[in-house]
Amino acid sequence: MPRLSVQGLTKQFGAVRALDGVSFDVADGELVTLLGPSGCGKSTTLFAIAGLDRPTGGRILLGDRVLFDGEAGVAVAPEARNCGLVFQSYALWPHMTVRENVTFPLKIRGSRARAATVEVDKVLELVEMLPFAERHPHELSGGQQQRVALARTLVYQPALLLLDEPLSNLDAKLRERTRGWLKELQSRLRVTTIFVTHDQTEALSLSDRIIVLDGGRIMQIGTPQEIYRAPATPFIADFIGGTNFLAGTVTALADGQALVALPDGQMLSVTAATALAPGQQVTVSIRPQSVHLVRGVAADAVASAGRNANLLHGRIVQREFLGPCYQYSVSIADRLVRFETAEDLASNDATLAVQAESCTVFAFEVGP
Amino acid sequence: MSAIAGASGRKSASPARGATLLLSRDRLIQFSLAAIVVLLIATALVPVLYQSVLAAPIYDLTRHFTLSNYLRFARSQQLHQAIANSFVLAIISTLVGTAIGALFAVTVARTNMPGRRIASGAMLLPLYVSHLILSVGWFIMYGPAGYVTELTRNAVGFVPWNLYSLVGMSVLAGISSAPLTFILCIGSLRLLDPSMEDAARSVGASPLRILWSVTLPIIRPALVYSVMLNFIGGLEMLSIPLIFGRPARLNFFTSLLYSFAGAATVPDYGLIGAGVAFFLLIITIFVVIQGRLLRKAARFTAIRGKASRPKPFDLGRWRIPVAAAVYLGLLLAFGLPLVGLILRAFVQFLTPLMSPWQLLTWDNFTMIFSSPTYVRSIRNSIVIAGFGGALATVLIALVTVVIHRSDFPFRRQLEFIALYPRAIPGIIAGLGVLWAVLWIPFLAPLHGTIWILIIAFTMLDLPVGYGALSPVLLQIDADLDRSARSMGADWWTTCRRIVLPIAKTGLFSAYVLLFLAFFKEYAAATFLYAHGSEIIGISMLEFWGIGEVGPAAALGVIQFAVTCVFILAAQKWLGVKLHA
Repeated sequence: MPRLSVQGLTKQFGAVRALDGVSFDVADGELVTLLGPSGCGKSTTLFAIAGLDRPTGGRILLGDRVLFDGEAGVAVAPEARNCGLVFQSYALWPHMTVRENVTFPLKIRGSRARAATVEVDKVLELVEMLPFAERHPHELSGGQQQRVALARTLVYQPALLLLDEPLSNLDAKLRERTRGWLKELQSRLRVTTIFVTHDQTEALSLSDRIIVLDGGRIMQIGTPQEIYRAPATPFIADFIGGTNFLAGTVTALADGQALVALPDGQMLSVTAATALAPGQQVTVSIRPQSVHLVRGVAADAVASAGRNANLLHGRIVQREFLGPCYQYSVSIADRLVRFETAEDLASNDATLAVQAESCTVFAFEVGP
Repeated sequence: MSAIAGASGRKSASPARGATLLLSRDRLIQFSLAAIVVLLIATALVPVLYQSVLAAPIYDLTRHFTLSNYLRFARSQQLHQAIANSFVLAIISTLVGTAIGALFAVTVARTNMPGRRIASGAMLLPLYVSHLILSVGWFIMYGPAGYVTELTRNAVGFVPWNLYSLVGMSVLAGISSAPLTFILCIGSLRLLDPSMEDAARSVGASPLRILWSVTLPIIRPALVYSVMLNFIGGLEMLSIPLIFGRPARLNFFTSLLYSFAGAATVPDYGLIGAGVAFFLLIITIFVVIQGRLLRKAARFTAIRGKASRPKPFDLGRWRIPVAAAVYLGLLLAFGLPLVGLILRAFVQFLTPLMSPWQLLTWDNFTMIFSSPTYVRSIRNSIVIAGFGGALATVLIALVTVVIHRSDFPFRRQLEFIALYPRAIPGIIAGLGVLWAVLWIPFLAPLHGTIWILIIAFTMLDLPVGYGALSPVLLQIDADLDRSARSMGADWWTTCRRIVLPIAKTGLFSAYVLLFLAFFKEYAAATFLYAHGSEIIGISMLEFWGIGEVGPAAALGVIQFAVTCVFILAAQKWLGVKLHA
């Protein structure tokens, strides 16, 4: 039984469709991430669920309760939805102390002062902000403000926790630490959570499931592993994890393997998940991590790289020093293939080994 | 509703709220506030328009519909002449005032002239002082028998100016409106992104060239706006037409209306109604045209952002001469008249032939403080400004919140209505409210109380308060109220607990501005005061009318002193900075 059900949500801004038939379910206690580039509709979806943005059509249900129904003209006011929204800007009220901020939602719900104090102390303890209870927001660091914003939302035990890029205003180190802490907290409280982000690392590390959005449409829904290993489109492959694309033509098919001819005549054997036909134009995605440098004679290399390894020859056109390793860009059939290695290569030519099962084939072409 | 929310876009300040109940508490409050605003303005306008098509006075039960008022208006030479004079005065004063104000603003904000801060303060002070005080001061110094006039006549044998002429009065009116232009222009000059000027400089433009092609276009919206306000200000001006026009036998529309207020016989209600309706129509057309112009000027509004200190233009060896000209101008326009006013309040009469020290007296003040009527007028003015200003602040703050921070379906229309009183001259508002009280029986108890003055002043100064509070509310991050809404607070709770407390400093500023506006208003009171509800300006005009210049000046000094004390107190205790 899904806790939250979003059905066919659309949002029209004049001629532009910001949301185009977005549908998904979120189960009780699940943490689902809405992931996509800016302008993909992820925040619009989140604010539609919170009731702060009115969609043009579709339905939103929380349990049995209809929060929004475009056709029936139902739109429950945001204050009546019992959602907890944590804003990207934290939106702490500057004229109130930390304690007053966190107490506010309880006061609105008419709880007694004494009971409220106990609740507030408990939740501030939970986010490790109790020692700062009497401070004002401007006296706190970004990370501390973020915790207060979360505490203010958790204190009234919302039916649904909505997080709008809550980590994006923190610096890189703090973001990593907070990410771990947030994950731990969410799994402890088992609160159903929707997390909006444009950062694929956050999405991969935090989520039970990821919903990838682009141009107001859902591109793929799946666990982090599924999305990373079997991206539905070249866009997702590139957006999540980053990848290299090679274009080619299918020449032969045999037991789940396809042989792809690159424009420069090199052959590439790949594992074909989708139905392909000989002569078809395809795009092959190869993650930089799956590309290995081959040294020595070709025959030895094949032996060491394994039976399913492809060998590709190309010219190194760019070299960047990243600290622990170098990143090389190798030109193969007019496309660039990036990979990383600790070796400082002297020559201009390189031979690369790629396992057939680490290639993903898409049955259409994408630009370089 | 969704159309409005959609048009305002996703970044809209208002959370899109669903219509679960037809009239929630929030909606009820929003509609009530809108109704109050509409009623306030209707009170001033409807009776006048209604009277213009009635054959008898509005309170007369034999009244019936007629168009003859407009026919008589079309034939009334007296009204035509007065309206024509009003327009000439408005046009000349707009040109003079806008030119002086803009030049001043550019000099003070964009050059390295010494003593800019003091010049800026001196230019702003007249904004908070009644035009009546300035006019009396000018009369005392530059009038036909004025102190400076006499000095000049004795020194050079003739006087190059004549303030009993239409042009002379128009120039004075222009000088009195220059501070308004100044404050509007300096606001946009302060917001000017210095990188725009730096960019022009880096491509090789000379400072004068930059001033002409970059700086001036950027203050164009402010100029357009101030042209409109100055023009309306010229049309509705009462002080100069009364102080200078009456002795010169020059009638203006406002001074003609004023003479009806004190007329012994029953005035021609229908004719007045038709004249006022015509006058309002013209002003409304100007407001609409100005709105159109400013909409097209939206491309000049790319000047938002952090206020920074732009690098001023180096005047070089012109620094001192420019400063001297600026200070001399300020001294002649505002300094000397103020000194004259104060001096006049403390002497029996003022003449260059005798040292004022020989004529020193407390008589003028004694005369005021020994009369309960005049003491009451001072008290009434303070109560109206202090208490009425607070009421108005609360009302306008709530209306502004509805306009900027709600999904009230008619907030666009509400904004238009709240800004409309710019087009209503004070004396016409007074006339309208008076007729409303005469016409509608249940309003009768308000007649002759200070409440009716508070109502009229609140209506007139809606745009002042809205203008002060809008930027404050727009600066508050919309997430702050959206988060309160998502946490379970309805709109009204969010207003009271989040939005208004955060806007506290802005509320204080608005209160100070409204206090000063209420304190200096007198034109609207000319029809509305009665025994017991006099205010300072009315008493001043009364003294003036019987030729008692001394006590009138003394009242002006008292008003000026209270204004100064209030501004200082507001700066000290409320932390309010008045456009420094």
